[in-house]
Amino acid sequence: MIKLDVNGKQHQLDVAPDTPLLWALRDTLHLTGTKYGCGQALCGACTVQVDGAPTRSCVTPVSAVAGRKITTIEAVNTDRVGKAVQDAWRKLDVVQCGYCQSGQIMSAVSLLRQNRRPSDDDIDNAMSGNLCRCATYVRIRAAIHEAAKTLA
Amino acid sequence: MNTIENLSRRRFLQGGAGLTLGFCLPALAAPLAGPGKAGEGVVGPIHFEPNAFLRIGTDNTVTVLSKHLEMGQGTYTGLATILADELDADWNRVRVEGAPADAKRYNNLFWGPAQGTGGSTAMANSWEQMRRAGAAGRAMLVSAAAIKWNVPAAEIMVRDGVVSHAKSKRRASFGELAVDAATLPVPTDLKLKDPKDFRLIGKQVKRKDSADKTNGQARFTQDVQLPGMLVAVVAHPPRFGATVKSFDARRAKAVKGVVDVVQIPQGWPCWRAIPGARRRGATPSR
Repeated sequence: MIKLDVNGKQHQLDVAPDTPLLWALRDTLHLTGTKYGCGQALCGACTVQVDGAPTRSCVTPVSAVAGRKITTIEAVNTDRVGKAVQDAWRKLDVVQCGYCQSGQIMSAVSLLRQNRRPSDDDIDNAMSGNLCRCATYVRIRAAIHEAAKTLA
Repeated sequence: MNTIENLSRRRFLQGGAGLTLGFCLPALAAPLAGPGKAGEGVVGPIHFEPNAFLRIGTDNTVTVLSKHLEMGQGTYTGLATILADELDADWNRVRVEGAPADAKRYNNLFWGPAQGTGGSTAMANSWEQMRRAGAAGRAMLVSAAAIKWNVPAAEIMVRDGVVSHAKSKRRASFGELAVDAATLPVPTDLKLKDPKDFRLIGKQVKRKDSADKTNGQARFTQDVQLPGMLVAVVAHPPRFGATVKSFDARRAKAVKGVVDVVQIPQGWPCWRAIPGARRRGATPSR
């Protein structure tokens, strides 16, 4: 049994300790907002937050995050920064296909928690591990600036 | 542009069977079993459903059924824009739902009897169809108001989801007229807007899929979970052109939840696993 703290709820999961967090979230807890992209931490689609830090859930075994605070896209609007980012994403219509956007948003929220006034370079550096095949990068950058503005 | 419009019109007539069937659907005032957001077949409130592409609820919600897939190209928003403009709907009350699989009603008019999305055809083949779907709904709402208020239909205005008659100072929302409109015959002689009167088409409107794609609620193929569904995981070879010499399924089968390991025609072993047991438990030997 693994104890996971996901979006403020405690869960006891009967999964093997080396099960990637992604599959525990998606298959066991049915939190399907977090996406499988590459399975090798190369694309960022599976990004969640562990104790606030952006984390690639596809390569993170559940045993490594037992008892730590995990936040997924489903609960991103429960804090002020997350809500600001989500609102900015909607205001600027950032999404296209949407597949990578859960991961993009989770990374963006982590960035803004660390840095309330990120420059273009700060954004590009922080977001470089999140790929988007629709190439929504320009709007992602604009939305992060927009969220930073509303949080100022 | 003309080529596309002419082609659209010709195919539109050719594909008339699908369309006619769509428009021949009775406008029902009875509760309808709607497809529901997650396809659960929820019985919703009373709807006015003049054709296969439009449903208006007594709660003023305008649902546009998109016969084409939204893959990020904006089809849901684009198709809804066309219909909503002819309907004179309030864009904020418009939502989009994917049409069910039904090639008779939802075929791609450029592709004959096939329901499909691709080749930049979604907007072009649907242009006149969606305009007519919206115009039919609008005409029926206007007729319903004209009968209810005993005024000439020609004096009735429609704007942003509200039907009004200036002289008698009467107004009603789409939802308030939905039940009456649903009892009327579906018109076939439709007057479409002069393009100069477009209020949504050609303008920048907000996407209809932003909310669900920013809170984890949008459902992708990977997110579909059905009772008893098994998930197959393909173990790809380490290099192109590799073929399987042999594989040992014992370690994979030892993983909890793995039902079977089979070799697929392409020559690669495939693990069938129940959800929750997707991780790799063994490396096939070659």
